[in-house]
Amino acid sequence: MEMEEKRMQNEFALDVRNLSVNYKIYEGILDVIPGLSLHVGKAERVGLIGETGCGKTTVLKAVARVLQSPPARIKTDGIYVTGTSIDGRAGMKQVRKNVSMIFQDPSTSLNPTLKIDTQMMDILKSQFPKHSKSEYRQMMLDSLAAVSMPAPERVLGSYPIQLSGGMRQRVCIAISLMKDTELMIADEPTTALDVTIEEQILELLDKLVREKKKSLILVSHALGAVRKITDRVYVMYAGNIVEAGPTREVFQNPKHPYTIGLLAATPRLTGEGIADGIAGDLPSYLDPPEGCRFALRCPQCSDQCLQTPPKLESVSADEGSWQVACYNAGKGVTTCQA
Amino acid sequence: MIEVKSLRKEFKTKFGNLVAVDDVNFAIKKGEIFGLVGESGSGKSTIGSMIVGAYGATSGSITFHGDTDISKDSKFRPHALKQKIQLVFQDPGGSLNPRKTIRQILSVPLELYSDKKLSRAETDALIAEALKQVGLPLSYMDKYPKAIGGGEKQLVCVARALVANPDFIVLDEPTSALDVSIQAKITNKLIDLQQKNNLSYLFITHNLCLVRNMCTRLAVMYLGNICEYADTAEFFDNPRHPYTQMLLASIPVLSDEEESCKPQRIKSVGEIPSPLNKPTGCSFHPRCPYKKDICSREVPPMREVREGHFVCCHCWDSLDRG
Amino acid sequence: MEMQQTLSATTNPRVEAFKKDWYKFSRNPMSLLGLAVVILVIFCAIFADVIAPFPEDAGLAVYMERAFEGPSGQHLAGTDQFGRDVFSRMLIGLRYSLGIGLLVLALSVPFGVILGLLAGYFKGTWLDILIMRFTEIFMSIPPLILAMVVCTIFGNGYLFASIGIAVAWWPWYTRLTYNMVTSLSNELFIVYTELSGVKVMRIILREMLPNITSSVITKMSLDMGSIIITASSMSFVGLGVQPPTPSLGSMVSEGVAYLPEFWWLTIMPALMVVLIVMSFNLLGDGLTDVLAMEEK
Repeated sequence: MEMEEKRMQNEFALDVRNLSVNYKIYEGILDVIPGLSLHVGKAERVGLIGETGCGKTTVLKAVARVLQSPPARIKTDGIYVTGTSIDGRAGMKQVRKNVSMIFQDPSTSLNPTLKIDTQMMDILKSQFPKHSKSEYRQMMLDSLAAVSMPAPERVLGSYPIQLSGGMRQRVCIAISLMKDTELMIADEPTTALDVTIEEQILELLDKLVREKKKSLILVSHALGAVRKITDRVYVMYAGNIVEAGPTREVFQNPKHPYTIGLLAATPRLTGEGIADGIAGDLPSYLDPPEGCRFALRCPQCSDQCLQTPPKLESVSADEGSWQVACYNAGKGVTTCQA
Repeated sequence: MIEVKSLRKEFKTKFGNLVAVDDVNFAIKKGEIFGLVGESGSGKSTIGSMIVGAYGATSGSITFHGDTDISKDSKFRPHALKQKIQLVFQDPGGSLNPRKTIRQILSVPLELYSDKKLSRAETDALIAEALKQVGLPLSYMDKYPKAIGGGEKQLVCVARALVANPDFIVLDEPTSALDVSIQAKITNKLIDLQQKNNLSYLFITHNLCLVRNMCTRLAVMYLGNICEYADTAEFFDNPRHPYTQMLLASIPVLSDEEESCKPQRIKSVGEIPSPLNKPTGCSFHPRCPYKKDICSREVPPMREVREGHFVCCHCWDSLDRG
Repeated sequence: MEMQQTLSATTNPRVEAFKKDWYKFSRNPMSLLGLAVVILVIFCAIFADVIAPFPEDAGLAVYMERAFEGPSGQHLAGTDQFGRDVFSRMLIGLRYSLGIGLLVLALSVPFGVILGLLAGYFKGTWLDILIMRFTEIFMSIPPLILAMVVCTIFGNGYLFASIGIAVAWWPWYTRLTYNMVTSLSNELFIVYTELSGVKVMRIILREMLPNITSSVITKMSLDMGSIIITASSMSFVGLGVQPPTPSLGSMVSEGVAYLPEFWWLTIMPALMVVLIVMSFNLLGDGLTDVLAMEEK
């Protein structure tokens, strides 16, 4: 059993086991994440989708060890990055060494008072000490070339504000590539960008992750972006994973009522009108429903749904590659054109 | 309803004159939802702001109902005109005063635009009617904006526009700050209200999928110019301008059927130049895969390629649907 | 459209908001301490006559037989050169110090806030330039000197000292209000009211003012301490409340002559000033925290 576990850990770039997070506030306890497990395989590209307030950023923060605690109260059976626990001080090192992050707003993740070359230099120095200045410069130019940056020489001498949003995001990606990390976390990397630029950044991310055989976890509410560059997807609702499976299949034929509603609500280029969204609102984390957290908005809710929360169960032929947390998955509503 | 003719807007900045909108022409018919699409810096919001009168045009004209000139600042507009043209902003959180209840917020247009002084009961009745129209419970009247969700705030903004009893509403990216499931609800509500109250909308957005599903006609803007202008169906079947094709090809879609609707040959390249530093000739030529010599020299004229379908490109006839 | 959120459906939203703010405020024990001391100080100031063991000592009284007695059970803070009870005089002095603080705020805040609202709303016009340059001139003169000038010109005394400090104090409120109003002007809800043709005075008073009151109140609490210090400094140089009426500042200054043997004459009133100033600052910090969290 122990051997088995070890093997599992080493196969995963990221393994989050039964993570739960809650906050104590004036009104009571915010039970944000009741118990969530997810994993990212080696060289696998995984998407984590969900709407505002579903807890996806909280999960990311816990993985990157930047979730402030207190106020957050974190409990877990272990979060492992490339097989090593991120608990304690040694874990912090593990995170720093093996995880790189790209954020939504490239203008806030770069220091506005320093030129790009200074910022990149600082990171290079900490990663590869004892090189000459020209060697560092060559490294910077190489990494900018890797993100297809036009005019890299000029970019190095610029302040972040002199670059466009797309260019800044390219710089952020270049910086995150300088560390040779196994796992790359991208938190809404294209939300702040224009459509044509978004396309370019997604293509770039896709290419880099494939070439360098990195593992990617892309967190986004933009369904299209997730479909474009991930192999597998987790759908989150109110702190729970409600559906997990191969991206294209899930998008083509979603099984969980929430995923179905979400996909139906997205306007399509083929133009068949817009479904009426999902009735109701996200439940309050203060007093979440006892059973399935989606039950009260669900068109096919049963008594069982109101009493006990459903567990993720396999719906595919091969064990476990497509899981849905719903008692009625596959019965009733099955297509996304609701 | 609204007619825009050779509209131009310049802003003076430290770095010289910024031409935000240049020689724009279009018309919005009564009872239609007109989409104005573009990326950042395209000038789409500037046009919206000029229609509601946030600032006057540098040159050109905007006429309302055929005869009233509204190209000047809103200070020059009588109340009766302000009442007829309402607006809804992108950010619902910022457009409601956090220190006022929904009732106080919604009573502002009523006090401004009603002919006689309304009693408290009359005001309440009108507010209740507006809330009912947008589908919010009456108990929301005494809530503060902080206590309700983002989508609901946007509905309050829509209700605020409705209580003024307008003919025309400018919707400046009304759903882009919201989640998809809420966006769907609000979009459908907006379409519904448009039909019930016989309104006309100018719908400003960067989301072509939304336009496809709600607008009757649309114009695509790039760096202050309109590059393509057509009926929605015609536009999506037969996009002609290379920028439009690039825009369509860039949309991250959710299914293979949609993938096959997109132009296949074109790929997104290059950056959007700063409006302060617009390329000569056709402003799209540095990114255009089909560019010729003439593109960098002359500004292309607007040509009608089919009935009601206008394209602003030198090479339109040599392009297929991409 | 059914609403699942049953939160706070029962009570008045204002009451609920207040309860929540109180919870945030009370999570910081230092703010609670500040509030407690402020309440105690105000209580003492109001009932100084009753609490003081020797209220008649506030005026002209001489008891040579008990001059220069150190702190004891009977005289908590000792007695001064005329044998008057220092503790009683401190309590009465406290009343004057707080009174000056309130008077200064009552004079300077409305004036400063109104000017700030006008200048901020009409940013970029001649009115803005006029008001803000005028404000800057007053800001550039140290408050103590300005107050001394006023007292020298118009006469000495409690009222004129307050006016003097107020003259030096209002510009800070103008500046605060000005900055808040200029950032509010870009808020969409203000843009909306402007576009829809709401009258200027209405925008300023109904839309803008409610959004700045909480910051102004916080600043008032923080300023109370500084004003009391300034008032004390003034009485130290002989401006403001005139002897034999005690004020904390003049008690310190009179006591200096008897240092170091009769230390209680200076240290006790000085400690009182420190206590008041600190408690008002703690209270102000607590209020700032509540405001900061509100914005989140």
